[in-house]
Amino acid sequence: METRSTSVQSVLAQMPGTVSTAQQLLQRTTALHGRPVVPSLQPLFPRGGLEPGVIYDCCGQAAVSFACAAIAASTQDNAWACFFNLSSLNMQAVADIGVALHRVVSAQCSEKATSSQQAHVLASLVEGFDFVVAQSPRCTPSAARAIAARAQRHGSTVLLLGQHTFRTDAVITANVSEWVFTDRLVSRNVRVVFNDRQHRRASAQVVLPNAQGSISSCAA
Amino acid sequence: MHMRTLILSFPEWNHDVVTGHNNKFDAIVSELDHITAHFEVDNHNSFLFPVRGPARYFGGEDALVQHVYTVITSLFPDLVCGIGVGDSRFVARLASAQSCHSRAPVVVASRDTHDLLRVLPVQVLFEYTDIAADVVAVFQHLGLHTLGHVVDVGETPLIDRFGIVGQHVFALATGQDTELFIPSIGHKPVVKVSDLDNMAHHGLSDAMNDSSIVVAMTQTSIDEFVQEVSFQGLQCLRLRISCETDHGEHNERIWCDTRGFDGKSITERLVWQLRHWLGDANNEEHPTSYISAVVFESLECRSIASDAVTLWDVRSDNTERVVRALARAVVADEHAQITVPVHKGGRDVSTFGAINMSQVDLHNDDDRRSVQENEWNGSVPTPRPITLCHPEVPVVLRDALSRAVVVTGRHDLSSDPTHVCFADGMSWNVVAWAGPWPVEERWWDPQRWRRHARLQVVASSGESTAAWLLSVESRQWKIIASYQ
Repeated sequence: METRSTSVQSVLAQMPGTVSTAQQLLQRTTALHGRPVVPSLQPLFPRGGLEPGVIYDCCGQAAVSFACAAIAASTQDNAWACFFNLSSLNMQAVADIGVALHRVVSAQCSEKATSSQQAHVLASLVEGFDFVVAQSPRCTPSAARAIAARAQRHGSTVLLLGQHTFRTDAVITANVSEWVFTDRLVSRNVRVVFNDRQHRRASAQVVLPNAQGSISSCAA
Repeated sequence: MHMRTLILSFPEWNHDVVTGHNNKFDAIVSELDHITAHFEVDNHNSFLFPVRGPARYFGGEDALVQHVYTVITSLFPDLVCGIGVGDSRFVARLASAQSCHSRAPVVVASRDTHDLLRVLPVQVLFEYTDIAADVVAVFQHLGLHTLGHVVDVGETPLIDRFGIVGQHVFALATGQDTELFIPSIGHKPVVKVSDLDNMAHHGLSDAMNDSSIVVAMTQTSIDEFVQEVSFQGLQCLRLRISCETDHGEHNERIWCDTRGFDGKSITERLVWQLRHWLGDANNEEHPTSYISAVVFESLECRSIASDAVTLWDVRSDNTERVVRALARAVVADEHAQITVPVHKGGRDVSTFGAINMSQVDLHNDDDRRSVQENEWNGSVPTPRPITLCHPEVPVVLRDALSRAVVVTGRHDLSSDPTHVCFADGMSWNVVAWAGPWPVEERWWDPQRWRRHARLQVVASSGESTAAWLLSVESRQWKIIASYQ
């Protein structure tokens, strides 16, 4: 069976661009449409969702919540996500946002880990996970370029929080526009702005978190 | 097919022993070089070679085993090692494990192999081979508790039920070798030649006997090799690295890594190989000229993705890819904490804890699916804070008259808070607050009894606004979580 599979692959390799395997086709269609995100975030992304192999820089006061909201729908669709150096996350709140916790792994480098080790860990993670949400990864610019290339090759989406040395494909700024407070904290209105290297810009006003702890569109 | 195999294992060796400048690894490699022309290094801590050739040279299997044992114990008398010989790698590995305990070589004769395997419990398949735990669990559920029971089922029913794995299990249980020293079947090998001759012509020939230079020069080839293997959707498990000098001197090793080789691990193996070959100038095998070529050849590969992607938009389960990625991450930083969230309940802000990945089976997520947490009197209301503060940040809550705000016995605040003051002198203005919500834990246990209260605060400083969850215990306020 394996021999036949290899021979089919070698035949296909001789006909680049004309014949595709279902896997290649899937990668292409995923790249075309982006990975699924909740409806309130779809207008933000040029392809309606987070793109595989793309590095996003998430900044602003609500960056952590936004990163979780962005991957929520995909994890429910059986994608795997890894939180790198984000051990302080409240998984209860992450679950409220909509992230499927059974598809989540948390990786925390030791304090003594060198930047080279951190880079190797991150590089390994982007090979296996559909999403890697990384908090301030310490790595040299050359290692960052290698990780970005690896993410592109393996179709992993990387969302960066905090300081880093990566040259990102897009910057997403999530800033708090209003805290809604009655007898307790009820919700938070967040303005999200998307900018990418092609100078495409989009923005959305969302409630993150809403009264249930998840994300919803802001009522006009 | 039977191939009498000798396995020399060092159970106490870890990755650091081999990567560090530890002479034990080099010394053993050097001694084995004198015993056999061909050996494999398996997962850092085991050496394997076929006994047939060396046994003829040393006057029989027993003499060979005794020679290996004498050499190793004379080199390192205190080093725990196991020497096992058997009809297959599996049997030899079992013998080697037994040898570690008995502190003497264990040779399983061909005539005894069948009887030995029949009485072994099926768990040994999980412990000593790459057969998954769930397959072993199925055997146990089917009442097949020993390898003898499995063999009695027959090869065809096993293949019908378990496919390729069933065939593999049958081969292992009957003492057949499932891996060849020089595989000739399966995937077409990927061969990458790093031609260093050109670099030598550019005046680098003097430096070409420095292992670090050679490793640096071959880095591109290693990356291309990994890329080529990965392009075929494969992961290299067994790799042959051959080095050749301008004078035709040759050095060759076969390396195994059950986690699969990536660029870093191949570089590591090349460093180890060259460290031994080039390290000692008095070594009679020390090359007399510069290294002109390094060849990387994949001898055994496996598919990266465990499941084929189904047609159209149905995603395959890539859990196996995740497991392998995590295994590589642990190799890169062995102190890295790889955890998965699990529901633990309790009265903390988060009812989720983290357990080490090694304690869970990522393929089975039934126990880890999200649990709907009902609100209870004193629980933190939704929305919950996204970030927990480790360590908690001590603050002082003050009112408009700069008096410290405390929680009274009736669970009220002594006055309305207006400022959150930090130890460094910074002060944030309280915009809104809610609470306090008292929490009493383990009231039935005087030793572990705990009473505290929580307060939700939105505060501003200049243009910045933040929302925190504060906790007060023994009149000391702390920020325990943030709605970042």
